[in-house]
Amino acid sequence: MHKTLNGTRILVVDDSDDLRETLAFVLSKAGAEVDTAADGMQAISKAQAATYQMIILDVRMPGLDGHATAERISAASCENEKPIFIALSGEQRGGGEFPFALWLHKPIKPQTLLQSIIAALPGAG
Amino acid sequence: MPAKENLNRQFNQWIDKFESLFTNSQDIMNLFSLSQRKILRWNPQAAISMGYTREELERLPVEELYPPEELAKLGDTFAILMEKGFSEAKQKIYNSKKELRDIWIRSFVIQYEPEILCLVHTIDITEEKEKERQQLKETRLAALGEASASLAHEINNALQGIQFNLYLLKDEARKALPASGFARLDKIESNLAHIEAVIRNVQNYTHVSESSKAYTFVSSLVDSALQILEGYLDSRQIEVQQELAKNLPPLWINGNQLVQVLLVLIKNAAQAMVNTSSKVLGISSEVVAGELVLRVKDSGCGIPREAHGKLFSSFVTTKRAGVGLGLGLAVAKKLAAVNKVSLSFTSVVGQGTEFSLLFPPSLTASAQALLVLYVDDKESLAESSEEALARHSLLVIKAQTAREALRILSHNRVALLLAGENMYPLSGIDFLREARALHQGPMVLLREEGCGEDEQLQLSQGLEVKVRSYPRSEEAWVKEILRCIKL
Repeated sequence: MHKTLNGTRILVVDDSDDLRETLAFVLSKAGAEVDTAADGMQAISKAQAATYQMIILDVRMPGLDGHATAERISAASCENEKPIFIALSGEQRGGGEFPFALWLHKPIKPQTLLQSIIAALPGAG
Repeated sequence: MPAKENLNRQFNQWIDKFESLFTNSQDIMNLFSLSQRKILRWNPQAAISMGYTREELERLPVEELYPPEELAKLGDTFAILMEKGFSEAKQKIYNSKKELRDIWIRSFVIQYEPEILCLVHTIDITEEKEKERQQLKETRLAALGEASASLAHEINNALQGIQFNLYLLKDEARKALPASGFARLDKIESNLAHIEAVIRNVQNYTHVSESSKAYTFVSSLVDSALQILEGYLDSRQIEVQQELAKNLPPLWINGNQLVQVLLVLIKNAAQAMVNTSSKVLGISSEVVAGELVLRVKDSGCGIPREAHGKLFSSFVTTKRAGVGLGLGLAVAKKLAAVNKVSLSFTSVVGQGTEFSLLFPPSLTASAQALLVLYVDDKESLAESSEEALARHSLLVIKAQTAREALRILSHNRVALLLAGENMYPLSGIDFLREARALHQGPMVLLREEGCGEDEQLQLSQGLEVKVRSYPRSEEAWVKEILRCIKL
């Protein structure tokens, strides 16, 4: 039985309106329940108000960057409710740093993105 | 009158002092008659510094000394001298080999009657100027690197937007568009992949500030450089002939910097062939007396003998300002030297030029070392694990794309092949399928999410691949690789 995104609650954080909305649309078409945030602070307050299984963050954002945002959200959430953090980066460098479970480089094919984040979800594969 | 005698003695002493200063100075000096517009005397150092004999220099007309644009400025200098009795300027002057030297020239009027005489003191500042220019160039280069890094970031963002939308559009078009229209969407997608590869290369290219060294194959350097210049060479109808020796040892170098060196050499070669009928760029590698040599050869116009001496030291260029990347051979030589690689050339006018990069044995990996090729578009393997593996005589070679890795495999034998599953545009599985023709040893597919202890993937008849999750720690990496290599 393959895993799907059906019903998975995902928060998409990206300062580019266009990217954020299209990614949200791609994810929701794949069955996820998606919220969006335009910057780090907005993401933190959304993560406080609701629980997400996964948070996808653009790494380079003005103000609080993706890394700092993920660290703060991770520190503020309970151990058994910690979301899976996925980094979307336009840089060549980087990868694997805490608290990101997955480090994806832009541009990534939507099919590959979906496969990768589905694989990152916990539970039987 | 004693006072007058005194004055005369003082004057004579002064003349003696002046004479000894003039004769013994390590700088170039001359006595110039402003009235006659003629140099009356040179000091001995002048002939030495400028490479003439004293007699040659005395006979030399001023027009031979200065390039035309500098001659044109002399009138102004003379006017200032007349008015103020002193002038100072930075100028260019030819030496006996017709090489332009930068000079700092100061002139003092020392006598007005019966004719105006000036003492001209000249200091050769060519080296300083050169350093200044080089620093400026490096600063510009650094700025270019920074600018293109953020440019690449912006472009990648835009590309991501296009890909998302294309994906959605394809989904909708499946029902609405005829097959021919759908094929056009596929074409757009493959063009996008091309832009993406170009950007990736630019990112690699400008990513020089980090002086990270890694074991790298010569074939990979050539591959990267040719990929960047593919369009450039195509548009100039240049035929590339490669003769890379097989199974050359990997080199401990900063690959990005050596690719930069190659870019300069290849572009120069291409420019030398602009007006020649034969346009063949030859790239070859071999081991000569224990040293690995990489040669870049053109069938171009060749470099005139006079220019040989200054080829690396000054920014001799045929390019217009703003054309190309502005990287000179001087920078190439320096980047090579930083990596302990020497750069030399031979050239015959009318036949072409050959540049050679010489990699000393100290840079080449031990012949006993087993090579592990790790192909992934993200960096999961930490440097410290590489060091630990090196203690087991295992050298890790990294490739960022499947294409790069296939190219490596076509020239080199490796003991173990590791590939990330989610690579793009060729996925890990597709890559391993193609790699089998070039690699007979064990192959491992690295998966993001956990898999069974000993999961196997039967890709096709006789093509078995081990599947492993990405090791979580350095230790796990070392253990896993050691385990896989014993398969």
